[in-house]
Amino acid sequence: MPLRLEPRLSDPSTAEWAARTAIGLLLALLLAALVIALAGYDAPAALAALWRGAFGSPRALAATVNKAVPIGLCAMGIALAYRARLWNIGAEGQLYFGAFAATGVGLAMPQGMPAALAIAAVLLAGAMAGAAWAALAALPRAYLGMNEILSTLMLTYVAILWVDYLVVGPWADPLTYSFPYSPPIAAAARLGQLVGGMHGGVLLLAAAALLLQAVDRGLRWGYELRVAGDAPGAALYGGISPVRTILTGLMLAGALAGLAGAIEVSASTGRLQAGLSPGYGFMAILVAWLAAGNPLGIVLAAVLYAGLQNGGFALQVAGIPPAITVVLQAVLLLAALAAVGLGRYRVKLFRRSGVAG
Amino acid sequence: MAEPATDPPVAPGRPPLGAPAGQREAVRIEGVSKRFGALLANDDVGFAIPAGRVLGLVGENGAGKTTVMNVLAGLYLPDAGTVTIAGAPLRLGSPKASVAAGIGMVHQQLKLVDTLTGIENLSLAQHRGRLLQRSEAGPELRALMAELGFEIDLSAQVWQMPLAIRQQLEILRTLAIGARLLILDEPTSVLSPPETVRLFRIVRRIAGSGRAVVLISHKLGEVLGVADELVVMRGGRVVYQGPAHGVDVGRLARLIVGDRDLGQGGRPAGPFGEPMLRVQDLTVESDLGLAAVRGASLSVRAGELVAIVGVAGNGQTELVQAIGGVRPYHGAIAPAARHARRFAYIPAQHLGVGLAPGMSIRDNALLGQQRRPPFGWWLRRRSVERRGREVADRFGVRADLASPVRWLSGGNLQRLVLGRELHGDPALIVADYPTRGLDVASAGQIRRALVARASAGAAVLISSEELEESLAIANRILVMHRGEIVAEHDPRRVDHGMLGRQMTTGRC
Repeated sequence: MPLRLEPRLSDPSTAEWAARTAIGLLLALLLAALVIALAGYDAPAALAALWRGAFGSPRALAATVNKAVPIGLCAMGIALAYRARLWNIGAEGQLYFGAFAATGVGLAMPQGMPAALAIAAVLLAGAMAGAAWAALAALPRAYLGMNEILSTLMLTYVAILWVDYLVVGPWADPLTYSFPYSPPIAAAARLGQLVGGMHGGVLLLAAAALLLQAVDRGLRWGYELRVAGDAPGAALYGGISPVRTILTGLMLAGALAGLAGAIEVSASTGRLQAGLSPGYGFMAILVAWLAAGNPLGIVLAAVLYAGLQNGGFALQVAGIPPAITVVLQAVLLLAALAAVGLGRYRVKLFRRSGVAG
Repeated sequence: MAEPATDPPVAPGRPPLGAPAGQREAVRIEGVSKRFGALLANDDVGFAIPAGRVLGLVGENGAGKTTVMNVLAGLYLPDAGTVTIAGAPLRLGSPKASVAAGIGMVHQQLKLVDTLTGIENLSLAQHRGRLLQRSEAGPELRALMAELGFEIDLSAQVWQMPLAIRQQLEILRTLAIGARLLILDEPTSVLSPPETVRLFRIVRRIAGSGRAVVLISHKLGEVLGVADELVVMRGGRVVYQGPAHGVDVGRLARLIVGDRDLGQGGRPAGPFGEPMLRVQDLTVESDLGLAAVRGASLSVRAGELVAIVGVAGNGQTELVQAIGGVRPYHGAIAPAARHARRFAYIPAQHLGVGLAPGMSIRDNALLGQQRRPPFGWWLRRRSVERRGREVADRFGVRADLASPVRWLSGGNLQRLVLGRELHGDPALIVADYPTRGLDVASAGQIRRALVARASAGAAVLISSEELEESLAIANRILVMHRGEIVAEHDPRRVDHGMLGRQMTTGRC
């Protein structure tokens, strides 16, 4: 065996990390092409359709960026909580609960409210509701040690079913009575477009990325979060309250997911509806891991996953099963994780120095 | 370093001197070099390990002892060098090949499955791949235990066993899978004096059975008491190999540190001021929920250095942890909050308690002080950098400030924690085993720093497992036995025999 993997003593540089990830993504594309070809379709044509649907035109690009906003916001929250080694699996539920609160405020607000105030109220309501929904998991975790993976996940289904109930029950829109929709929210509360079809949520995604950057680069609260995540015993020793860390970490993650829900209502649908999110909160878990928690990486990975989502529709039009994109999403994640994981080792060639006795 | 001509030091680069005639050579190490980044951990290391003997391997933290043993165990692939076992070359860098060749290593951190019984742990290693593990000791195992003097209840689960018994179990496991060379890395650092005596009795019998034993230790008196041969390493090289007979502790210490000055510095001279720490009727529970400290009271005055001594496991650690604020208690401690100003606490365990292993030296230099000036809600990069530099330089941590502390050696970890906790000249210092596991030079440096702080007016409380250390630097000695403080002594006027009896029996 003239080849051996040795653990590296230092973390790879950013350039090296990027190169490894790029190779991983390329391998994933090749694997996906192989799967498409094995399924009996024209692989180059399928990938071309996928590209056109995702990034092929300014219109497609704007749609992709708009989809990247909720995915990215949820992923920022997940990565943030993970700084304290807290697993927020329930971003999807927090998103739904945020959308519910945003819709409630958007429906109840008086006529003639100024747009800036209306939008702020709707977004704030979404963020606070998301934080509150996360608090339902964070409080038992902080005081009783209840596992947050299970509680955040299970609360997700509660939130989704709550919204499903509202849109066919008390909040059902009498004008679209056959659809599971609420009435539209006040026009003043609709988040407008920036340029070329992109809506203002992009700015909030950028702000969340800056927040995550600040957690790593200088916020004392971020420092305490990272110590608590790395060594709970050392955090206790350093005077860092575990209760505070858990509550703030998980609730801020919930707030970001709730904000994503509010943006969907305010900028995209204009109302609450069943199936508001096609699983943005779950995709965000993959995105956060794919990016290894790096803020810029999360933005890029969110755009990539949003592109796959939109490209899936284009595949359908081209007569190829859109399930291919789900396969591609999974293969992408595995390849990228393998590339990053192997990055912790270096390959070493050596001469055989002796034989076993 | 002037050595008498009768003791031939080994010239690096040459093959080691042969063992005396009639003595078989178990293992021969030649020309082993291993580099970690900028650090040359082993530089052309070579020596022979004779069969049927105990070889004491001594040197400072970072002298390369553990590195060369890890090469033997197949955990590290050296950059150069060979290992020969009974004349045949060993395939390097393969733990499997090393185990097959009869090399067994017992690490400082024991590697047992806590929820399995003793025999299950043995069977797990011995009958790898069997569907059902043995539940009773076979005749061979019983013969081995009787021959070497092991006294272990193999039907007990590991977590129920005292630490000394767990260690014996791990040694037995290593021998049971066929080790002919047994490497013990700092085996006595967790043992009480009587437990150490029992361990060494077993070690002697293992050597007597024809196996070879390598003992790594910082406790020079112990090494000289049990070893036949000595190998001294310094700076990654072997600087001495020869018989242990005729070497005394003083000479061994000089061999280890070279020509550096080790002046002890004495104890704080006083005068003593007001009590800075008052503990009244303190009761503390251990991790298992048992009463570890029962109604202890003590006080430490400004300018005074007080040492708590006792056999390991008699409540010293729990007492100090409660004072340090990392363990709940009943009773009164004043000042109660360590995060009060100028109160330094140095825990016994660094990684995971005093330090966050995955974070950088720079980040760790801040821990516990991040809420005090000059740090605000935003940790300015320049302040963090300056603090990291000051803390690292105080006792000479030699490493890149950006590297995670998990990579640091034990000595550097201790210097980092001490540098941080002594920053800002604290008025009260509480240190749990401040010199545990450190080499002579590092331990001396830390003792001098504590004495200097006390001389400058701070109150210092330490727990210590080395009686000599406490006798040399403390103004008062408190003896702990079964959770109670049973006696108080002036170290200048104390009978060693009585002190030993009080530590083991609680009575004079």
